[in-house]
Amino acid sequence: MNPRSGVAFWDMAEADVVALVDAADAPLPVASAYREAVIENLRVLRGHAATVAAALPTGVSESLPEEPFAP
Amino acid sequence: MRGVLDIAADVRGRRSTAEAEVAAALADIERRDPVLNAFTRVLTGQARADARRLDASIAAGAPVGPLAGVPFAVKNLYDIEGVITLAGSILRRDAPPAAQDAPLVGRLKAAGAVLVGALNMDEFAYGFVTENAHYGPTRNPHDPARIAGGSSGGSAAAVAGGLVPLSLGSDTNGSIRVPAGLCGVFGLKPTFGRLDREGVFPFVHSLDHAGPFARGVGDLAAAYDVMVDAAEARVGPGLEAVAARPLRVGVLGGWFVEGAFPEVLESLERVAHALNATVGVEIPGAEAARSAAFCLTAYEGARLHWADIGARPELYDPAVRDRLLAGAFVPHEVVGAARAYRPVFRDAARRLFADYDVLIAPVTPCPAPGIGQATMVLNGEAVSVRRNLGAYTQPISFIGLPVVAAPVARPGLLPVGVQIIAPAWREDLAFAAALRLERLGVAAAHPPGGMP
Repeated sequence: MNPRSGVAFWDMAEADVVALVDAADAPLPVASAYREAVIENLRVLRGHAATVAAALPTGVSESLPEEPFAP
Repeated sequence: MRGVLDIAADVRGRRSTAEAEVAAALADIERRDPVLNAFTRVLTGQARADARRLDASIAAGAPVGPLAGVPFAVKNLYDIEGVITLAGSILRRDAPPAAQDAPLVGRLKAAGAVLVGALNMDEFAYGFVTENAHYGPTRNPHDPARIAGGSSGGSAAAVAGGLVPLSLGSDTNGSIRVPAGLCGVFGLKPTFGRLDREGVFPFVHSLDHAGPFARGVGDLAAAYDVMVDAAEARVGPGLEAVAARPLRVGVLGGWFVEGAFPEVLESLERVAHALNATVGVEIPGAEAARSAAFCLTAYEGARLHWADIGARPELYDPAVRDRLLAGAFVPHEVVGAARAYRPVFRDAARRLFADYDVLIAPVTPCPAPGIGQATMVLNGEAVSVRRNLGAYTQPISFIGLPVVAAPVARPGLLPVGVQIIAPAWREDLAFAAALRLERLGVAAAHPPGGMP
C-alpha cells in the first residue's frame, strides 16, 4: 500500500505515482534530469503489478515467507 | 570454426596442443573483436602460460581433462582470480580483484579448458541488448549493425563469431536465451539452483541462473557435464539413449507467440514438424508470470543497489539507473503477490508436463533489432525493444525450468531461436530434443558471413 494514500500500488492514480516520486520522503531521491524516465518505468511496473494482482487466485497469501523456491 | 569436442579430441590425441589452440583463439579475437566488441579484457599472457602448463602436463603423461585445450571466456560478472569483476559497470572499476575464480570457472579449468578473457554485458545484467553505456555495444556477428542481445551479449557474440568455442553467461529473465537466439548459437539455462552461482555477481537472487553457450549440442553438454555437481545429473552419458526414445513435444501458443514476426512463426513451425509436436498448448497465466518476474526483478535489483544508486546514480548506465530507481518505489505488497504467484504458475506448468516431455516456444518475438533501435512493432503497436525482447523467456525463468535455446537453421538469414523447455531437473530431455533437431539439420549454428 502507498503509505500516504492507503491505496494499493496498482490502483494509484497517475498523480499519486508522480507524487510518490516527488515526495520528500520518497525511498530514494530522484534528480530532475531523470525524473520523467523513472516515472515512466514506475508506470510500467504499476501495470505489471496490476496484472499479477488480477491473476492471483483468491485465498493465496501475498506474504509468503522468503523460502528457497522449488522449481 | 572448430568446436569444443573437436579441439579437446585433437589436444588429447596430441594432434594439436593447447598452446596452438589458444594462439588461434587469441588471433581470432584480435582480428574480429574490433568489429564485435565482445571482450572487455583479454588475458593473453595468462592464457598462453596456462596452455603451456597444460601441454607440459600432457607430455608428462598426466591425466587429461575432457575439455583439454579448449579456449573459453566468461561474462564479466564471473570472478576471475586477479581480475576486477566489473559486472558491466564503472562503479566497480576500483573494486579489489577477485581473490579466486568462481567455482564454475574453476571447474572448466580443471577439465583442461583455458580461460582467454572476460566478456561485455548489460550493466549489472539488467537488460536484453548489451548496449552498455560505458563499454559500448556488442555487435551481432551476423550483422554488426544489430544488437547481440543481452545481457550476456558478449558471451553469445564471442561464440557465434568464432572467437571462442565456449563461453559462460547468466540468465535472470532470458539473458542466456535471448542473446543465444539473436546470435544463432546454443545456450543452456539450467534448472534454477542446478549450477553454482558462487562468484557470479548477483542481480536478482530469486531468479539468477548460470549457464554455457556453444555452437553444438554435444559441445554444450560437455561443458554442462563438467560444471554440474551431481554425477547423475550429467547428460552426456545417456544422451544418445534419451534422444533415441520418442519424445512427447508440445508447442506453446497463446502468450508465447503473441506478436511474433512471421519468420519466427515459420521457424517454430519447422521445429514443431521435425519433432512431431502437438501445437497450441498453453500454460495458463504466462502473461502474469512475466509481469511477476518484472516486478521481482525491479524490487530485488533496487534493494541490491540501494546504497550506490542513492549515493552515486550518475555512475550508472541511464537505462539501468532509471529502472533501479523505479524499483525502489515498488511496495512490499507487490513483491509479496509476485512471490505468491510463483508456485501457482509452477503448478500449472507441472500439470502440462504430465502430457509432454518438452515444450517449445520462440526465444524472442523477432530477429535482432538494430543497435540504438528504441522500439519495435508487435501486434501493430510500437513497443520498447528493451522491455519486450524477453517477453517469451521471462515466464519460464520465473519458475526455474531448464531450457536449451537452439538456433533454427537459416543459413544466410538473421538467426531465430527456439526454447526447448523441460520439467525441472530434466536437462537431459531438453538436450535430447536439441540433439534430434541438430541431427535433422533443423537446428544449426551457422558461421556468420563477412567476419574478418
